[in-house]
Amino acid sequence: MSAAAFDWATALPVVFLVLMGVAMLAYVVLDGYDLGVGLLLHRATPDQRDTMIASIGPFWDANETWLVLGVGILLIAFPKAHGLVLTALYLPVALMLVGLVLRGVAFDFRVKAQDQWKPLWNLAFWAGSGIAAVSQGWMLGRYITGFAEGSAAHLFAGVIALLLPAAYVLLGACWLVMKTEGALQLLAVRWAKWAWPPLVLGMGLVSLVTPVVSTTVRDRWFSMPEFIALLPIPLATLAALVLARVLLNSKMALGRLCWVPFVAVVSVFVFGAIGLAYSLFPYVVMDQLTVWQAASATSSLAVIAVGCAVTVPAIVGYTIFSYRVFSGKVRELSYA
Amino acid sequence: MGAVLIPLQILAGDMHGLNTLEHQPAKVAAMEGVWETQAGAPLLLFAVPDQTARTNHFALGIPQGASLILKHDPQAEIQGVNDFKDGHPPVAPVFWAFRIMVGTGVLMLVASWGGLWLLRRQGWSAAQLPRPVLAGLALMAFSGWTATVAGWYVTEVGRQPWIVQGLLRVDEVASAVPGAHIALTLALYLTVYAALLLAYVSVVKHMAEKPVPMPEGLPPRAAPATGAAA
Repeated sequence: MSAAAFDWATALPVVFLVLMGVAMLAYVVLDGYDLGVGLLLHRATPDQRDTMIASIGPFWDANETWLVLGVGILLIAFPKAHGLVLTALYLPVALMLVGLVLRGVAFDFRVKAQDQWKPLWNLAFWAGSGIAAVSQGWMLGRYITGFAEGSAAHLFAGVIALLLPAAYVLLGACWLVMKTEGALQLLAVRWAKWAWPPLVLGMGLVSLVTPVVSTTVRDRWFSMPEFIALLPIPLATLAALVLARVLLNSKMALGRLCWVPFVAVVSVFVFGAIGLAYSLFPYVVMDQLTVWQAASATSSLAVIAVGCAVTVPAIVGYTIFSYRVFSGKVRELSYA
Repeated sequence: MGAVLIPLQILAGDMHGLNTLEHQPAKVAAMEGVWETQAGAPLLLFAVPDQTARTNHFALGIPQGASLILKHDPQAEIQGVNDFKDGHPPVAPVFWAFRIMVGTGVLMLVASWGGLWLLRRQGWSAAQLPRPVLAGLALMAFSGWTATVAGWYVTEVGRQPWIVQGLLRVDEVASAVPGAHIALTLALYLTVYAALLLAYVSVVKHMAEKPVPMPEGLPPRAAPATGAAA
């Protein structure tokens, strides 16, 4: 047989990298909107709060399974990267988990506990969402610079730690525009407009800082034929951002097109992830560790692939199923 | 249900114990508080293991009991912790956690069978049980967690100093995260979980005391027979 150009040792790590990237993106978008709704909770009236929670009730914990999938793949398919990344991010990960714990408990207890405690559980829900979102922002900021040392890199992570929650708020507000009606929908439009500028700022900042920090990224984006070929990514991002903003300004967002701002903001996240993936590949940790250096043995990956072939379609399946069942405007919160 | 399942669990526990004896004998030695390898080792009901003197104080046990349980032979030899030159777990925590686990299990067996017997005597009406019995049964609601957590301590502390038995030691794989960060997050988790435990018990109590609303369309529950007689 002739030497094949294709070999599993090269291909399998890339397959897992794509799967991990998709899982992480799905997590950021899906849990992003429900974290955003959590962050907006304190701005609504008590009745509106119940509606807001009801709008994310059927989805939120399934949304978090994507994080488990993403980090699970990081652990078993890229153990070296797992060690490096999670050691560097130990404190924010620990904090994020506290936030997610608080949120998860508050979700149930705010309706099940004695009435006088409900405001406290609402506060725990809001605070948990905030802690989780800020920690994730910090992690993203640290990760993008390849855990660079120095005060500038930490300042950058600090700024992203504030901008990612704002992006989640925009996602959450657009979710509410899609899922609710009446006064709450109008309120959600206002929230979305507030959160729009920070998202634009965040996208801009990441796009500027990554090429400055890493010559790898600079060469990739700003050499000549590539620059033209890549232009659709920033242009499409910009178009989606403008579309969302224009719709939020018009009455159309309240009617049949109420789903468009949400989809537009989701596509901004998707384009951002594509851009980031292009900047990073083949690195799992910027300029330090490539996907092949970080990967497990090919035979281990083959075993994991069998497991993923079962679990991933199951996760995708129930996700699609639950979004179909609970599509349309939200109804009363009816569990207690 | 508990009356049926608990004996099954005890049977599973015995099989698990035999398996542990085969693969992690140091853990079993610590569980039983056996320091020196001996034939016909006693089943200690109470003792205060002393790691520095490498002996037990105030030991009270059933002669040959440990040998009987572990090897189903009263004269069988049980390896003591002193035999494990590569390291063995601290004896006292494993010894005590194991007694808490088994003790809770025995208590569960007593509570379920005793409860069943009392309930039968009262004509299967739970409301007729004496209040102290009801209070005791309510407390037993936490027995599952107590036994599980104690069992978890046995298995994790008992594994020390290995993380993968015989292959990898814990100190070889510990991450480079500074100790202060670990201490900080441990304190954080303990605080959060203590608060959540408090909230949880209070919410469970609240829910248990709250009357269950009848779903619409169902007939109201029939009044107890004794109520009609009075």
